[in-house]
Amino acid sequence: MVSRVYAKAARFLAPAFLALACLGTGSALLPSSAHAQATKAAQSAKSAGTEACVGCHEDYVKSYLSTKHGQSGNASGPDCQACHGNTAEHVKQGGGKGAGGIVGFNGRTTSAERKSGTCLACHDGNRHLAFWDSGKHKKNDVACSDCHSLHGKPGAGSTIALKVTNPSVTPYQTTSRQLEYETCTSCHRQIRSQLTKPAHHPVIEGKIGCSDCHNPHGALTKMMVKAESIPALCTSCHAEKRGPYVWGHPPVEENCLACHSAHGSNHARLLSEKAPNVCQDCHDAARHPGTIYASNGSWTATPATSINTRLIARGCVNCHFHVHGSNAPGARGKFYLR
Amino acid sequence: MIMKNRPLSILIANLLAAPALALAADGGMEYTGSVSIGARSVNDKTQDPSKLNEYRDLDGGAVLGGFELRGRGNNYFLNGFGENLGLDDQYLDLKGGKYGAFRYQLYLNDLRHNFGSGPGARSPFAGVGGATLTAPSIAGGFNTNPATWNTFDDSYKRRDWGGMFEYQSGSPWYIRAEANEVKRSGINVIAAANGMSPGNGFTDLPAPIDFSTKNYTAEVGYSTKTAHVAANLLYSKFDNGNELLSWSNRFSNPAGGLLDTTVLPSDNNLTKIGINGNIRQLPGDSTLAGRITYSNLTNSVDMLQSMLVQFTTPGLSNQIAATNPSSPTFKGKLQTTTLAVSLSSHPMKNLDTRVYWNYNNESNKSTRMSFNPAANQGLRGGAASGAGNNPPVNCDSGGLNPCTPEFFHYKKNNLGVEASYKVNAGNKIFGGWDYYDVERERIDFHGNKDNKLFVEWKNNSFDMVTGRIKYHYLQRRSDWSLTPGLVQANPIEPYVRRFDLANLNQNQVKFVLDASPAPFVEIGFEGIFKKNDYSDTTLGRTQDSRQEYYASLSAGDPSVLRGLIFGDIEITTYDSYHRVGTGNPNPATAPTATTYNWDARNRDKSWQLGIGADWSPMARLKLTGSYILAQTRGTTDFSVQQGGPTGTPFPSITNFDNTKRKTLNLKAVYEASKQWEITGGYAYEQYKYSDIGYDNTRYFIPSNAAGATASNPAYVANQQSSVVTGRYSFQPYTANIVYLIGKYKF
Repeated sequence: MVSRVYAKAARFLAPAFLALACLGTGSALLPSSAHAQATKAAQSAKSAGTEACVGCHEDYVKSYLSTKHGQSGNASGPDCQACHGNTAEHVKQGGGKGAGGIVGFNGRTTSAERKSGTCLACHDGNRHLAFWDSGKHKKNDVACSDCHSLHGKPGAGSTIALKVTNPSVTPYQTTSRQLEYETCTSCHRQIRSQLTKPAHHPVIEGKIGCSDCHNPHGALTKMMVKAESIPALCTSCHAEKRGPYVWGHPPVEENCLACHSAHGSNHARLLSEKAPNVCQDCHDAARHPGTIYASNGSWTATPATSINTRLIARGCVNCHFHVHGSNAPGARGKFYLR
Repeated sequence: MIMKNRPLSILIANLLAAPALALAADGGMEYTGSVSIGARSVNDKTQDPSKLNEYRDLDGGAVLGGFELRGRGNNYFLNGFGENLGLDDQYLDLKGGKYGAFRYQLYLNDLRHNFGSGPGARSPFAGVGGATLTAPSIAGGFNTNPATWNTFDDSYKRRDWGGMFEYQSGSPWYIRAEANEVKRSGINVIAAANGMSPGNGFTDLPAPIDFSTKNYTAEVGYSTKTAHVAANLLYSKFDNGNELLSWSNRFSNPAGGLLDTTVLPSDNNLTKIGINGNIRQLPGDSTLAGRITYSNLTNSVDMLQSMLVQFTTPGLSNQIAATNPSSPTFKGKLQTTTLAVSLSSHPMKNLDTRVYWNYNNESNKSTRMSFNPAANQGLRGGAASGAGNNPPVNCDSGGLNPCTPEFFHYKKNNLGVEASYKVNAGNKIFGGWDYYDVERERIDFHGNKDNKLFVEWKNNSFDMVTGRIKYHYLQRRSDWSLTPGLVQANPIEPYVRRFDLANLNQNQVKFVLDASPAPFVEIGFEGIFKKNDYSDTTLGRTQDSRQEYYASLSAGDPSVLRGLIFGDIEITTYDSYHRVGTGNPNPATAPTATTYNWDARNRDKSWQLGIGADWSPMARLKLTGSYILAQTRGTTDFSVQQGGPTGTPFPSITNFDNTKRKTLNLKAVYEASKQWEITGGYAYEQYKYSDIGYDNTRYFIPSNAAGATASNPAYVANQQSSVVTGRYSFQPYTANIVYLIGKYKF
């Protein structure tokens, strides 16, 4: 009953939401007069703030003005000085790296805390950064500018420019979009390697991104995953495996990673170890779970009747297909056969 | 059909309408963008192109259409993007909004996950794609001539489309709403045992995929520099168009006519409410953050009241047996409550700390089902209690106990403290402790306590070099016990510890080095060694280890020429110990020829070498190229306890998912004029695959129980045969891909 109410509400709200979005670029949602005033003030301040810089740093100023930050109507968009510091002393000293206390974001001389602090001065009220202080990136001295390029041109299909420090080394991709994994894997080399394994989620193909599962801006969870637990994260896409099941499989309920490697694996279905071995590591019994399945049970075994049904194809899963859980009655469900 | 076109039409309407509206409102929106069209030719040599096309639509030649629109105004912004229009990996995206006020997104993201086609997707069944699979009603086994089987497309198409709207204007309050639908349709090959014993064979079943997941999220929040609080609601509904699959089971019903039933994923509903927030600028420069969620996952499954079961005497009769469930409907209900609290502080100069607590309580309030099918009718497993060598604890074939599922749920408490101290400008040390206390209802492990300690040292004393070394030790101690009934039912259980929760000592060392010895030169190295010792495990996984090494060198000015070369090596080893036989289950007892201990060592080795470069030989021309050579090898070695079987060969497995992959990817982008850009490229891919489970697939395995052989005539009197569809068996491919795209920019 409750579900029906939700479903009806959702059915009602969805078109309304879409209609609202369709009108999104129109004037349906006008800003307050205070906001309009702030916008005007920001426009004149921004113009003044960039004039001092454009003489020496024309390319940087131009690239900045083409970003969302640099738009004259963006009241919250900073001018050069808001991020790099006061230019007066910098100009007075004749310019140069760090001259007059000017702050650069590409070198190592400025601490990660200082770099991120500059961004957070405006963005720390953003919902996306609510858990920045609890996240691993802050702890490990990762600054906003390590991933974001404030002067860079956003890649195809993107509104923000991510830093890509290396040439793209991938198989042929059918997408021309800027893929965020290229930014993430410039530090996370282990993940770069796993993403190109024979079994992988379609990350390098651009069909899902790192931030579909992880929140790089901080989270309260381990590995900064976007759900409260690993099963909750995995089943947000693999909803058919949510259950609940009449016959559950305890490791499935508790941790998908007991059997799967999420970023990539040598083995189909992202299994961390090949079946039947991965199953036998838990299941030993007098009969077939405890039997050795050696190479003489392969498809080339002679006579053909010697081909071992527990070794070939999916191994144990040939029979026990419903290892994530079953709703079949009796022993057919108990042993995940139906 | 209507559903398919809807998101596309919405996006197109937006793209056409939005600029005009925005322009009128903004008084000066500047647009840039492009329209591109091109062609791609793919020449492949493969029996089954599914691996080549696993997530990409490279199915022969294709017209490549795309566009990009970027609008920037004084107040509004807009981004539209589309590529691979009309192909299986089509992507459309529209983002926009007003600075400091609102933003929105509409998107459509398609992919097709290909598993098999041609010889990699054959089935003796008729009706593939539907919910009923039938085979010819000829007494005996399956048609053993796969050349005459039906072929199908073993793949499913996934379409994710939806949108987001977020509004926050001149106020700390904001609202956000998201909605999307993920539709999956196609075929996925599942499988089923023909009967209850593995000796009865199995059958691959091309099952229909008709999944839909609709997600709706709403969030209201208040966010300032000093505090954030948000309340959110998620409703997610999963629907499966086919909750049952009926199929001809030639073992259970050799005469045909009666169908077996496999239960497919049921519809489910997930509702989750959550509140999260933080308070910043507390004493000690602290931030207190927290989140609480409550979710309710439900489903309703009508229990099968009867099922086809195996014949008692081959060829004599068919049986439909009553399942006798305790309730006609299973009402699944999982309620999960989570709480997370984190206090991050900066109590003194150079010191950062974090204390956290995570709580997760999954409560299973589903119907407590039991089944009481009649004895010896095929819906019970194993022999009668005490009468056989491995009767299950219940659901015994003697009918002494009803079949009662284990009931599983858990409660987890996770506490931890972390600290980092900046010793001086060049050195920082980290340390921490992470503790888990878990209580669970499970037949073997009833709880566990994990203690993890870590230390880390980061050094950047030298301007050009940053090094980091981290060590952690994890000790897990579990509360393990079995009921006497379980031990009686399966006497080997007292010696088995399942690795997911067995007592564990884990050591891991990670070393990272990044150096910039000269401008535009970066050298990186990462090494990881991890070892898990399941110290108290007699039977099961006894230890596993990982060694990983990653090295890279990049050099060059990105605006002219830059290159990258990297090499990765990964070696994983899993050791396990087992006992087989119907004799004394105690591994400490002397072996016999039929009851003995054995061990296995599974080793996966993989490496890859990659090289790539970006080059701008002239202002109008950009060249990119990369090459990857990668290899994986999987092996298993067996050894048998001395005094066990003699002369029984247990030859090693040398090809568990052995692959070798070469990919060359070259691309040139030439800016012919301010308006015209031409992109051309060539890619070469070669993929070799060898696996003991898939090499030399015959589609059909006769059973020795019936004395049949592969050379039998088209139909053999063998109900215990197995059939596979050929999935993964014909994957190797070589492909040449050429493409040319013209882009008009405005």
